[in-house]
Amino acid sequence: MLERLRRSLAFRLAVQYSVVFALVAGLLFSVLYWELANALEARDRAAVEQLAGQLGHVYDLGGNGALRIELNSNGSPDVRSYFVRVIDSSNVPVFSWVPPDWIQTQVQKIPLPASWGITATRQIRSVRIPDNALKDYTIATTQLSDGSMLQVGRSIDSRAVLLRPLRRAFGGVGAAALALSIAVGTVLAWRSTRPLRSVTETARRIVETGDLTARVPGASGSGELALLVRQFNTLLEKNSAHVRVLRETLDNLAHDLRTPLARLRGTAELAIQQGGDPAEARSALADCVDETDRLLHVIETLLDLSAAEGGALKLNKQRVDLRAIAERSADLYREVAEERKIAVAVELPVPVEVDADAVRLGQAVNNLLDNALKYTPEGGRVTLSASAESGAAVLTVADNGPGVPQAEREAIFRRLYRGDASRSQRGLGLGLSLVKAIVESHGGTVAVDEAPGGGARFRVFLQCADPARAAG
Amino acid sequence: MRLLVVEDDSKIASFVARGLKEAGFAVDHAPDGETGLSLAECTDYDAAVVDIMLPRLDGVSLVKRLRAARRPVPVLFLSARSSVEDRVRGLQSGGDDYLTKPFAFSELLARVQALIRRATQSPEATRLTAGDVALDLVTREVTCAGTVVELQPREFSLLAFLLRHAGRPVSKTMILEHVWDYSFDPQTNVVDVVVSRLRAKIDPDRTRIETLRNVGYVFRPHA
Repeated sequence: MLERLRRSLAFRLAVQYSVVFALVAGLLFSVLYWELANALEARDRAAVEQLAGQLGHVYDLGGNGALRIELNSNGSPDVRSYFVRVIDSSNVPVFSWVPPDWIQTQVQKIPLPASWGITATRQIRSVRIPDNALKDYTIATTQLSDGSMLQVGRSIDSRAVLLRPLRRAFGGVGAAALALSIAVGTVLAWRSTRPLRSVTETARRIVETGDLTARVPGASGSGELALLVRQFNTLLEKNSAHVRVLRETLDNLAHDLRTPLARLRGTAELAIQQGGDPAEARSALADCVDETDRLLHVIETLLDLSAAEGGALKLNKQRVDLRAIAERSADLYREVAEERKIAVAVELPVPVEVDADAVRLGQAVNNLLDNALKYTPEGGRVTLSASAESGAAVLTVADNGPGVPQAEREAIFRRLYRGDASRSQRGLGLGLSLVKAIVESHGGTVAVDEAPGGGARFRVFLQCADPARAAG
Repeated sequence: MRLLVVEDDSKIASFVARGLKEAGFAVDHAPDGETGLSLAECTDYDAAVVDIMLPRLDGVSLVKRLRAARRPVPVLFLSARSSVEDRVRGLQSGGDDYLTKPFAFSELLARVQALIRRATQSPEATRLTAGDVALDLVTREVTCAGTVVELQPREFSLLAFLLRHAGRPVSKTMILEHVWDYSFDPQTNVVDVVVSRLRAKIDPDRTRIETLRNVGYVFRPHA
């Protein structure tokens, strides 16, 4: 668990941000501390220097006596905290005023100025004497008119009183704040990276259980992670749709193959049982070959269909005139139509150019015409026409047969669907689904409705070729 | 007549070779492209059946190299791929015909015979005759047993195709290719329809155009 926490993105993010936060806070504190310390020191020094100047003036007027009187008579209790000393020119202290809370060692520590020369140019000069961690002194020294020297000093406790707690507070609070920011940051980051874990968890579940219906929860919102979750869910959706189509295809394929295979097996079995007669055996073998051919045809059609539906059909697109395709198709079926005494009218007034695979599109038109010829009664009429209507190329195959009942108009494009009318006809129930798949792989649509004079009308809608651009 | 079969699948190779031998051909078999090429370079074959997917040297490259070496042997490609592009690629590389697996042996035999005939024949006469049926390609006049017969254009093309291959079987696919110019099977019974119409006109007693079950048709000239 701890290892997992240490490795988690949320925790690492929180720690990184907290470190940055701590560095910035530390820098800010250092600057503040430095400024504050300087300001305090300057204030102390100003006070000491001011008193030194004042007392020097008193001394100049009245000597040691006046100095003592002045100090004693000063109403301010503050003055008791100052150390005052006068040293004559031979470095012997002649006056000393020591705060009551000082001890002797402290007085000894106040140094005598080593050289007058340094301070000669300045009337009053103060120095800070760092003593130890607890106390500092600020000493101001001024030269008096009789050549002796006045020292005014003060133990400055503002550092101890103010700055130390400040440092301590910062240290304590800073550490606590750092810990808190790591903790809170981890929690917040953990919460906002929850979608990532959901995605991982869902992916893991799908891999482990093969459950393709699993989706990542919490796809609402508009952030990057919500977007990721939605995209991931869309991916899963498409994926499972593909798998479903694949399964259905396999089921259908198995079903479609089972019937011819059963016939094949039955024929062969019967021939074995009957034995003897070579003529019958030959005929049975010929039946088997027929059945095999039918199987091959079913497999090829289903493969084409799957390729077209799955978008994997290789299209060799070229600029083609729908008229040429319609004429070729009508030509192929001419004799078949004549045998059935069906008049095939081809109405192609103007060129209708599309970018399409002529072979595949021809296959689709053949299937539509084949379909029309099958369902139109003898003596009927089939019309094949092509036209362009506001950018859309329309190829129409209309007949005057019984038509397609409203309820079946969508279903007839489904794979293996056999309407009531078509049960008596030979066929696989794959023709129209292949038409739909081919047309849709060209980016078009196919629909059936009622022809103006009754009967079925199949229309293929494709995009007209852009005359300005040659097909790629 | 000597044929070369270049095919790596031993089962297919053996049934093709056996069938061709039974049909009266001498057959050499090469299991890969390189062997096939070296055989073809040192022997004058009357035709070659070449699989496209071969080990060591694929069929298309084999035929390209044969053509580069000016060996004019007619080639029938075999391929498991049925797309139009593959077919075109095979024919552009110097192949003369193309057959998709799985195929009927009778179809293969018919195509091989057609290839040999095309390669050996002298320039085609304008008049085709077989037994008592004669067809003039220029005047488009057809006579059967001495009487002139009126044929529709498609019936005429079909009869011409049958007469060119008189005595040898032709498959429905071959007919669709040559009479309708369809390189893939549109799965209609249009060939049967036109054959039955042609029969009605030149062969009412069904002795000239024979249906070979699972194979196609054969034109049997009357003696």
